[in-house]
Amino acid sequence: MNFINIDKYNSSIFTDQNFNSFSMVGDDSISFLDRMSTNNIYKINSSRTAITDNKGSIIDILTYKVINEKKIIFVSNIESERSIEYLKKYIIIDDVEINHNGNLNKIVIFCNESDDSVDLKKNTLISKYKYKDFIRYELFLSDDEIKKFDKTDYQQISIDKKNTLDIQMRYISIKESMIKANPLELGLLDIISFDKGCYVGQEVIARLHNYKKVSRELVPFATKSKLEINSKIIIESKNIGNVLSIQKKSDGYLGLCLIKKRFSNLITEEIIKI
Amino acid sequence: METNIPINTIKISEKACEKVKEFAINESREKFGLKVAVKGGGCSGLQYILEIVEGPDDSDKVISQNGLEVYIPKKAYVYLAGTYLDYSDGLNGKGFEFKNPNAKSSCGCGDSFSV
Repeated sequence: MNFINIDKYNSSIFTDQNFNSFSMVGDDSISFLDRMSTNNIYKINSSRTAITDNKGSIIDILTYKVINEKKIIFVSNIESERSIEYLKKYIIIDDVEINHNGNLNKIVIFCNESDDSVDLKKNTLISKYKYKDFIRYELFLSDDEIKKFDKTDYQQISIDKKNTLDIQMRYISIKESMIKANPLELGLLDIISFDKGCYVGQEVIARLHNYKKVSRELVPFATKSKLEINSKIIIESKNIGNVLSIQKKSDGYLGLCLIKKRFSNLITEEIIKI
Repeated sequence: METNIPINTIKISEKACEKVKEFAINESREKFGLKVAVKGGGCSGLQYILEIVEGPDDSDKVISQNGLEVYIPKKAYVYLAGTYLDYSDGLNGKGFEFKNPNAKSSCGCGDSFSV
């Protein structure tokens, strides 16, 4: 079922302020982030990457930009010192320093693939997420850069509309309080490199992927019941999953839940009425 | 196999020492020692580093065993204290093998561990 209706808005834009950015500086910066996260930092110099623990569960998702061979800038998705402390714990003999790098503003752009005019080559902290024919960009800009950013081609949207589009595009923003999930369960295949070699969590993630053992999946739902993030989804007295994102609509709630795969058909029939 | 290594040192088996010397001689090194370290990465979070180097860095702890100097960065030492490094060869051998009492779990290949 295709319920996304971005073209109605042409390209939509949502702006948000005050995101902490960090710099990773030193001879081993690229090697370190490559060893600690799912994406191939050597090959892809501006994207998102998941920091996972040794069980493959997501600690955080970083939007990063390789500035040069000794410097990376990044923004934490959960906006918490916890993931910075987690990374610092693993700096043992590496020449790497992580420092606060000032605040940035976030611009989220939704567009159809055919209307995509965002220039990825610019030296901007940017990530691109694709769902079917739709693109979601996240740009992190300084105060000066945001003043220069030409918004005339975009329609400003509210946070409610932005959250709705995120849900429709199966895009999850990781929250610190969120139940543990691995990147495969959240459908983050676009930020996992399966051929770069070892990183923390790789053994578990590769095994789940290769043996097709991913047991949960992200499913959209609509309901009239009031639910909150981490609410349990219970069908026939069985706890089959949890709510990961939720947005109030005029006639109820719309959200994404992480559920056991064997129940996904049941969820689709019983709950999704979008 | 050694099992009771004092926690204020690491121990390297005679066979592992001989193998390191063999590698160094094959590389025509006259002065050498073995750097044993740990860095973030590998499937389990911390990965072992073995490297033949000319001498210690200022911050290295130096241990002499079986005629081989072993250099351990002080920051890595906390993860390696009490470790026994062995070498097994042959068709079923694993090469250099760490028995680390600090490791709560290891990855399948044994190259990394978590504490």
